[in-house]
Amino acid sequence: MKKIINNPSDFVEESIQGLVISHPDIYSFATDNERVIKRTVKAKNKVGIVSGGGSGHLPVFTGYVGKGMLDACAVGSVFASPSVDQIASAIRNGDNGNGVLCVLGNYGGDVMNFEMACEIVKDEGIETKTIIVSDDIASASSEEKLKRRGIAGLILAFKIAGATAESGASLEKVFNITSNANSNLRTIGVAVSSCILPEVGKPTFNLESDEIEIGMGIHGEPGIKREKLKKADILVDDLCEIIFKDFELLSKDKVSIMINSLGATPLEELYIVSKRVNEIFSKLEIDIVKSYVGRYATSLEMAGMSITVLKLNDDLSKALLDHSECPFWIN
Amino acid sequence: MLNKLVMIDVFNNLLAQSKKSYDEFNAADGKVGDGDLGITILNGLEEINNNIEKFTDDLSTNFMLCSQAFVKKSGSSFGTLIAFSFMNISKNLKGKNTCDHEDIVNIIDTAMSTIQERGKTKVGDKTILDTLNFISRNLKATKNNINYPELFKSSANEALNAFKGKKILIGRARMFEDKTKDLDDPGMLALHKLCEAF
Repeated sequence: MKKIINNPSDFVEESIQGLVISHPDIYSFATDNERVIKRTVKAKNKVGIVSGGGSGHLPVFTGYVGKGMLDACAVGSVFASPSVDQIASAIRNGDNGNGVLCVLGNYGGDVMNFEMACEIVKDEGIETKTIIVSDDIASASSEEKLKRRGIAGLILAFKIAGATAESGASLEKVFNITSNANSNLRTIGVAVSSCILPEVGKPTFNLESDEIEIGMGIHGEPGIKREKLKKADILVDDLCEIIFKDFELLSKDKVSIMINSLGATPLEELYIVSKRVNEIFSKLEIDIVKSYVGRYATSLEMAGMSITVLKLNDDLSKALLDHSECPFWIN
Repeated sequence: MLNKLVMIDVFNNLLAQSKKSYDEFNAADGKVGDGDLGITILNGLEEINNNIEKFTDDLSTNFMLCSQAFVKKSGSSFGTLIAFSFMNISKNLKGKNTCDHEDIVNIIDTAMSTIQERGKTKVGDKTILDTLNFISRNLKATKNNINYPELFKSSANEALNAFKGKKILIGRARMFEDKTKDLDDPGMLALHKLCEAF
């Protein structure tokens, strides 16, 4: 294992300490829990947006704390859910007196722990609602969309929820608009090499030098098919076909696209993907309102990328394009 | 019979077994999941053993300590289900310093109902719940002269064999359909190995 770390057991603590030290104007540790990060400048009179999940995916989850995004986030160990205590603390810290929307990925530990944390804070008078993001096409069929895992689409859900809350909308409205975003999100990814959990020290899976895996999970869970490496345009055509089979997009529809590196894949390759995606969508006369290309939701040093499509309506467009302040977001 | 000293002995042995099977658990999990089952189990059991001097004669207290250990150190779905199970077992054992046969059956059944409710799974999905089901069934069928370690071992082995050739029906693994017929469920495999520590 080649990683620039001190001790595997300090991986999470040291990385979030570095995050907070590097961006003190944006992030602060909660005073009651060392695994909770909150906004340095607390918001007022708005619905709180809270998330949480395992480490190893930065900027997801913690990186998206900031104005117009999350109010607080609970930080789990690598690929493991934060505890109930940590999540309850994040909700308390993210609460601005107007209720809290929890936005999380569809992972067993996270879902169970958020459920229990919400029960605890309810007894303290904090109203919560929960959106479980489920955008990963590879993790369940379209008939079972609610069972799908949350991957890169999470970030767009954070953005929609955060911007809507910032506008002063009620908890009910923030929930409804984010829920609508979740219904209109689709992601498909491909891995070309594995990640290595610091505490395991070995690759989670092995791919031959000429192999790729379509639909690999964000924790290195096996995908839906293993294929020979192919030219980027052919690969993108295949991935877009999977999206279009799952999701009806019509001429004149407006969408946002996210081309995301799973960790190690460089921007140059992402832009090759983006070029092809734009060509395909343009041919179909689907209007890409906004593209995001970069490292948004990663799986440690995994190489590969994902393509996310968010179908937009007026509410979603407005929320997506509203200003936010976070080191990992550009508008 | 289960009491404080037996619990300490069991958790010492479980820790030793989890270290021995660490790579095997991670590898089994990596075939259908994220490859961290060995970490989940080892971290939880290490934390329990780090706090084992806090064990008291009250078994409820001890199971609550076990729950807190898994909450603190094992946030995966598996670890969370184990934590919830220990918590509910603790609630049911209030005031008990020893467990008789009926209590041991209740412990297994409590774990089963917790996993069913929280994990939204059912018997037959090819998960750890099925191993517990075999243990529960065999415990209920045996009334006298019970060799508990042997019953746990043989039941876990029976469960593992009974599900060979069957598909995993829950979690991301269910997407792999027939491919999972040739694979052991990682949780069932882990419980089978851990039962060898008794």
